[in-house]
Amino acid sequence: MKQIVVISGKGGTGKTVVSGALAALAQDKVMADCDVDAPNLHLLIGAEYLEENLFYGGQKAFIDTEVCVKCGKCLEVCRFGSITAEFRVKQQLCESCGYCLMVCPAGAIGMDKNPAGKWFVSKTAYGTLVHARLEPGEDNSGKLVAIVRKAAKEKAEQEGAKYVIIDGPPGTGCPVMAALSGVDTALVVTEPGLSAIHDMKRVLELTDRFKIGAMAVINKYDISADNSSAIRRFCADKGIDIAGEIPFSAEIYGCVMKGRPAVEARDANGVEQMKKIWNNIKKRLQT
Amino acid sequence: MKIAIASGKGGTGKTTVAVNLAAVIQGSCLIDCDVEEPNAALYLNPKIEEINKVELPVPRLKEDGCSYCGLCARLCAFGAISVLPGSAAGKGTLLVFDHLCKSCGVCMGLCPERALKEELRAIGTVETGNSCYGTFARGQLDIGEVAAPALIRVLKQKAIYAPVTIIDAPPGTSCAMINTINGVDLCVLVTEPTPFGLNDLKLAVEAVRKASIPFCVVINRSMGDDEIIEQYCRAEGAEIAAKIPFNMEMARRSSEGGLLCATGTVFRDYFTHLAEKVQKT
Amino acid sequence: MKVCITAQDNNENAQVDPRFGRCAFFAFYDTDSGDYQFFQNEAAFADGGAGTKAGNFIAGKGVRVLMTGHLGPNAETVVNAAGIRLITVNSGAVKDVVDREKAGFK
Repeated sequence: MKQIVVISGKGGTGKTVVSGALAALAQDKVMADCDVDAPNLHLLIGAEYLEENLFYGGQKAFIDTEVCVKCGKCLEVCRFGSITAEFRVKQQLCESCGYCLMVCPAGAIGMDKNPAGKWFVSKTAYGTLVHARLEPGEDNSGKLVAIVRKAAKEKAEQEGAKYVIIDGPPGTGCPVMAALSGVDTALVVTEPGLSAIHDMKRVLELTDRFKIGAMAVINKYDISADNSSAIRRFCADKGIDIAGEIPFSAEIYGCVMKGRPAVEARDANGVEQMKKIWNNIKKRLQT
Repeated sequence: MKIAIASGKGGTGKTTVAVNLAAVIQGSCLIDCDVEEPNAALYLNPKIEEINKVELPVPRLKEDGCSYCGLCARLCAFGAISVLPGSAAGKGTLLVFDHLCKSCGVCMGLCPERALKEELRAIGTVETGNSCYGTFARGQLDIGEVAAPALIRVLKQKAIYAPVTIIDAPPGTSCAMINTINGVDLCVLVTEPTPFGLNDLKLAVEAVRKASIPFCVVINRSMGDDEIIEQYCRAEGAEIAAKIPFNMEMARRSSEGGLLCATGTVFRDYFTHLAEKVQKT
Repeated sequence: MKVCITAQDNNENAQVDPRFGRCAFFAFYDTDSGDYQFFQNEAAFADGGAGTKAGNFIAGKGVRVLMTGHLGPNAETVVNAAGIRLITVNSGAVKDVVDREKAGFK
């Protein structure tokens, strides 16, 4: 079984649109939405929730005010400003190091499981989808991404699927690293804008570091001819294949607005490019 | 006043709104808190005058004193320390995994031999300077680093604030975004009239409400029919402060790093109106 | 000498767990007595640093040979620093892989 991750660095370049198109084109696969901060793929391919599971983040400190002797030791050692002058824990700021608990002479501090999100297994018209949702302000998205990927891989094994297609998170941080580690190939979706190009370069530094082969997709390539040529030159220099180039199209935009995968758009050239992208991925994975 | 420009979803035009707002408000300050992908400078072309390294403390062994008892490794909640006991053949080994360390200080504070000290390790930079529109500050996290909230806290301390400060927030509703909007007077939530835009706007509204920060909504890439967002805003009592139409010329100009508010263009009005509105709230 | 095999369950017929830091159990095989001992891997549920925590655990128990599928970079550093020899095994029952590799435990 092969795992493919779709990433971009910058958000909004069309990562989910491409993932949705791959969901509609690929056979024998399980989809995983690893953008756990702002999951969207379920909107595009429809989802009937079959399983719902609670996700626990790092344990957070809590103070039993009845036992607390207000000595101030916890306040003194906490470096995250998560203990107030009234000896309460601001759980959003707690990093779960346990220092307060270790120094408390009264035994008034404990660590509590912290429900930080949910993850789901859903049925879609295009096969199984594993997705998740992190509560706002929770900082354990890397761990939740790992859970989604593990569940997707297990589902794929059960179903005898050939591929796991992962819609990755934006950025270059911890959740992106969790989405990248151990995949067979990465598809980097960019667009001919300065920000998107800048961010594509940053995310390619990351795939390099993980020694994962990458291919690029230029989305809305016709918005700027100059920038698109710059991307092609950059990719040629780096030895990165361009899997396809999708035009800017009101048809594709309209299709996504209606919550339908972009391959259903009445844009023959755009749809042709999406098919080409999937064929190039398959070819890459055979060698 | 401090105004954060945020959006649940990446790529809705958050940075476009932030830089153009900063450009139409004379003498403003712009802080780019999207430290994983800082892009505002591409539009504002600031002259960077000061670059500061952001460093976090990590534990190191003092020259002697360690008995290799392994207490620090057992106490570290993050698995950032390994202690291998010595044998007849030689001294033990203490390994520190810097990337796993959260600088909590447990190991150093509780070492019975006081054998650990702290050393500073760079995780990124904070840059400050001036553009022709006002002051500018941005943070950039080194590739492979994960401590965005720590970097954002330093960035917000180092920035030179103006009467109106515009803060470009990281996308999503992560811990980094919550740290960014902590203490601002208003959040402008940028969205687009698609099912994605609506879904992510809901998440962003949930996050700003949890932080008790007033907010308004900007609809970007409006194609005329924005009912999907308008209906939600009506139900939630959220104000729509501006609608920016989809326009190929604007998309092209923005993609090439151009500002949309150059004097004499029709686009400028969208941002001057928005600037007036947000300063009134 | 102690040999550690990462296992999916706490008996010698259990399948090898190819993960190290997040494996379910550690099986310890004593080459002198031929006995097995099983420990639940507490690091399996850690938020971070599972690899180093698991490495610390087996190094602290005096393991000399480790049989597992995949070591992350942090765990590898600990295992190397502790002078533990690594034998890569991805599948099979614990007692079968031990029997197969026995000759090499020295």
